[in-house]
Amino acid sequence: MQAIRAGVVYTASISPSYLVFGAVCGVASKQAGLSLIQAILLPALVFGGSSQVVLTSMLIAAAPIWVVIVSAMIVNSRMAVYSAIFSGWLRSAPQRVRYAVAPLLVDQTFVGVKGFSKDPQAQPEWLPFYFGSGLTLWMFWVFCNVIGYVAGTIVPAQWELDFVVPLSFVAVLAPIIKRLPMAIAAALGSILGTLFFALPLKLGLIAACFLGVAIAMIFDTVFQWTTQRSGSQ
Amino acid sequence: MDNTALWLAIIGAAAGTFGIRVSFLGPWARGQFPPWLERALSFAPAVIFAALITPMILRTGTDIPAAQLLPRLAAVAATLAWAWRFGGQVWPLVVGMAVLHLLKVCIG
Repeated sequence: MQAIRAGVVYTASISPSYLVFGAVCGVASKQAGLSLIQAILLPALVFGGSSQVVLTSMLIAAAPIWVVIVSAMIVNSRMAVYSAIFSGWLRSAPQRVRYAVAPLLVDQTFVGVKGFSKDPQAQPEWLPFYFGSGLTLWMFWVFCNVIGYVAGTIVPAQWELDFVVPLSFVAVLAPIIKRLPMAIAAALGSILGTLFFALPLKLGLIAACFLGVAIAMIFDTVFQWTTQRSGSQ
Repeated sequence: MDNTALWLAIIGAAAGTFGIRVSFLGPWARGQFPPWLERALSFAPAVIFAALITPMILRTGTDIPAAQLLPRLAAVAATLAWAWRFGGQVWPLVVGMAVLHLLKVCIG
């Protein structure tokens, strides 16, 4: 019980940023022409703000459906990393628990568990924390999307609340880019994302991702090689 | 966009995303990536998020006057600095939005 409550409290502590982000996603769903049912099912089933932003903006830009789906999946590809890490933590857990964990895998539940438990593989007490946090976040997320969909137009456009979306990714990137190879990866993403923005069929994000990751890996290899060399001298 | 296309996009993205989430949690998974894929995936968020937000910030594809760009860039810098120094999910956004509107008022 204690752990469930801790999870709910953790989600509540980060909820203000989700309120605005979710509402912005709801507004975007409306602009993309989704019905209310679709605007509920999108956050409920996809449960990932950045991919929802990509999906709706590509629908508005009339991109081909396969590009819409692949772009959304590329944005969510980082969840495969969480999936592998949780898989390690749940090595001895029953399969049904492992399946139950999967739908709630998002950045914040991952970060939350890492903050809650020092050794998630040895201490399964993080599981109630995870479900408490994840289910609360899921319900809140869908709720905020609906608020945005229904009432989003009440907020004056001059408030520029949609600018919260890029800002929240800046906040996510800040701790990541403290390492030089990651800073370079982000710089590559910035440049390629802008350069490829006008690519036909809205293929820019997919192209920027693959090329950016490839160049970042080449740079990282060189970087590791030079630091190893200077270390051995 | 007709309704069928919208449903296809939603269901396709939902199924694909669930596939990604369950990829290493299913009974088929041994919990190990090939090392090159692990490295590629470690770089992916930085590249993707930056590629996603830079055109949003710069309003790429529109004729935004430089005077309007300045408050946006200052807001990004403020959020970045705050999140770099103090971390967190809420305050960096409050600080960034405050800078945005403060400068918009100042520049007029």
